[in-house]
Amino acid sequence: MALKVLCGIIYILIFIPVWLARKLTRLGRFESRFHNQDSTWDVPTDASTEVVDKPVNEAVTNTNK
Amino acid sequence: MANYHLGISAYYHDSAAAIVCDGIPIAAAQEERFSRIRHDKDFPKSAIKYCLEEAGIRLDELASVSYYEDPKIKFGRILSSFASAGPKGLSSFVNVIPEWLHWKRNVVDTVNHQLKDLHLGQAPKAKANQHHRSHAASAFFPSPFDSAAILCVDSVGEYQTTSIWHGKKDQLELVNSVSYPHSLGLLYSAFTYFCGFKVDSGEYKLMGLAPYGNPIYADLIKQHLIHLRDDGSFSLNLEYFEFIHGKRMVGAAFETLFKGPRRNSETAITQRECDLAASIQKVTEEAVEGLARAAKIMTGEKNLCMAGGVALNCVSNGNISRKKIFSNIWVQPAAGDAGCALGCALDESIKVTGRQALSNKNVSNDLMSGSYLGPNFSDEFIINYLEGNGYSYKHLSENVLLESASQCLKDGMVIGWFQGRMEFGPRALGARSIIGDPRSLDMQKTMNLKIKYRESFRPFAPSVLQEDAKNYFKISDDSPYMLIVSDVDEKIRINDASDRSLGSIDDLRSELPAITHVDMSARVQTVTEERNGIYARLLKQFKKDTGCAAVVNTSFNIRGEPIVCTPEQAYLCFMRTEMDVLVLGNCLLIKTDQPPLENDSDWRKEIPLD
Repeated sequence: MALKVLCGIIYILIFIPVWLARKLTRLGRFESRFHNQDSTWDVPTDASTEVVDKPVNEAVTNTNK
Repeated sequence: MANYHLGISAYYHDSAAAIVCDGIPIAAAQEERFSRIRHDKDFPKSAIKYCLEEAGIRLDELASVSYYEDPKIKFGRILSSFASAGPKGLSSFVNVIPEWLHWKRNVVDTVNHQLKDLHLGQAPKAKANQHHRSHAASAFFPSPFDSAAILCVDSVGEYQTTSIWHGKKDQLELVNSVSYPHSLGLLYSAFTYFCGFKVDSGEYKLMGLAPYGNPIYADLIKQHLIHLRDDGSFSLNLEYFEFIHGKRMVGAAFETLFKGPRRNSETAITQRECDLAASIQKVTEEAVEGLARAAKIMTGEKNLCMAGGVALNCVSNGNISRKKIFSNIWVQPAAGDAGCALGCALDESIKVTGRQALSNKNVSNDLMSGSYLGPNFSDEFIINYLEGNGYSYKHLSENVLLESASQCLKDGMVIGWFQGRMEFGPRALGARSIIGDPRSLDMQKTMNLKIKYRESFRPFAPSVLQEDAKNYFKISDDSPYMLIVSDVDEKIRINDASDRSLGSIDDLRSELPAITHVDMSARVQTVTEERNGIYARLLKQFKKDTGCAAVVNTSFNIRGEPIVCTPEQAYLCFMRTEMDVLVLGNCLLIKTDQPPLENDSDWRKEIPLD
């Protein structure tokens, strides 16, 4: 029970302010700014998937160029 | 000297254990099959004992013990998630975090203690593997490929929800990933919840419901819920989801978007749920196709391996196969979290001994032994059990057994088919299966309502001899694990323009009506003698007797119950349902010859609905 109370206090003192800061700045993976990014890969890439609309062998050749 | 490696997944859902020897899977099983608790999440002590027994070793003979995910990284993600949950997350935080502080953060220590309590020797200290790496290892290392792109898609591991890897011989290289909260698995689960099914359990029901609907909400989903990008990546609009608050998947925002409330479970399914299912299925297929194309570009590979819960979406897998993005596709049969037990054990084993070379590198030839990695029961054991209980049976030679079983199928009977080692993974593949004649118009209804006691809309799958598969289905890749959906071939179609509404599954659509879904698709298992042994020989006998090289194959269980493991469980399931015949090894049992089941419990109340 004591641990639950402590967790509640920590949540109010630390987690709520962090949430508020993220809301105000719209920074973070949960916010709309992230949702509107061009890519959400963890490692940014400029790869377009259009190249593999072609048959397998041709697409592999193009990828290797 | 042989090196044995134990892998464990536990404490979330689908606990499992696996043992790998010198890069080869020796044994693997989910705990639910022993405990009889569906999706059991407890420490898999029975599965571990079975694996050790199968390998003929004790814990102190193991070279390593691996746990399927890293709890410390996962704890970091959970804290980070709560930091974005706001006031609504408070009650979940005070309920969840004490448990994490108490033991889940150090779950590997708990694993060590639990292993010690088995009193089977001193195990090596357990090590944590990363969740998506375990999935990737389970997908690539047993596959027939020397190199491949690997696509793992699930709800969430530590942070990653989607990952692309490049597998080259003994190496796994992480190429890219998408991280929590942006998750295709969670999106699909949100719709599973909204349509009134259980999360982490009812997703396959939603997939089965999709063909009855029209994807009228697909554009709405893409406009508001998920942003699919040209580079294959995606993100969810968190304004519509509530899973970060820790109580439910979705709420009022979803109801407003789809102009109606969530369906309550066990109430009637309406066309709206069918349309929602069709819509999320269409979006999922588009998203996974985008990921597959990205994996192709990022790795330049011609082979694709898949794992993660979303890889169990065989309709989506069928789409990838038909689009020919890759020359070959191989999906881990235990693609969910149970398969991570195998993956982390393989990862450790291959670091020590390297990968075993396969002599024949076609898709059918992998290291999974047909996924028959579970317990086996000899004829001697089965006879002792039957004799001990006074049950009526005939012990037959294999030829006579196959002829008798084929005749029973031809006569429209439903057979409980129990042979050899139990399957690892969620699909029954002819070791713990209920089978019937796919040409029968009544078979689908009979199996759903009188044997499985499950929803009447749910389709059944065919097992077909590999060499005959193209006579019945438009199949591009071999499908040994029932993980790729194909269309029924025009040659056997009867009524192409038939009704697709709920209740229409009983309509005659093809020469194999029992396995033809309303959209003319079928979840095919291709069977070979090399991989499936006696099951293939039964299909050959049935083909000889009827000209049909396929049977209906569904898992040997009733709704809500794990698939049977032992002869005793098989007999009980046989007697509780309207199955006509039970085949246990070479023993054939006829229902009408059996004594009435005495002192049976009220199992319909005991087994919770799934």
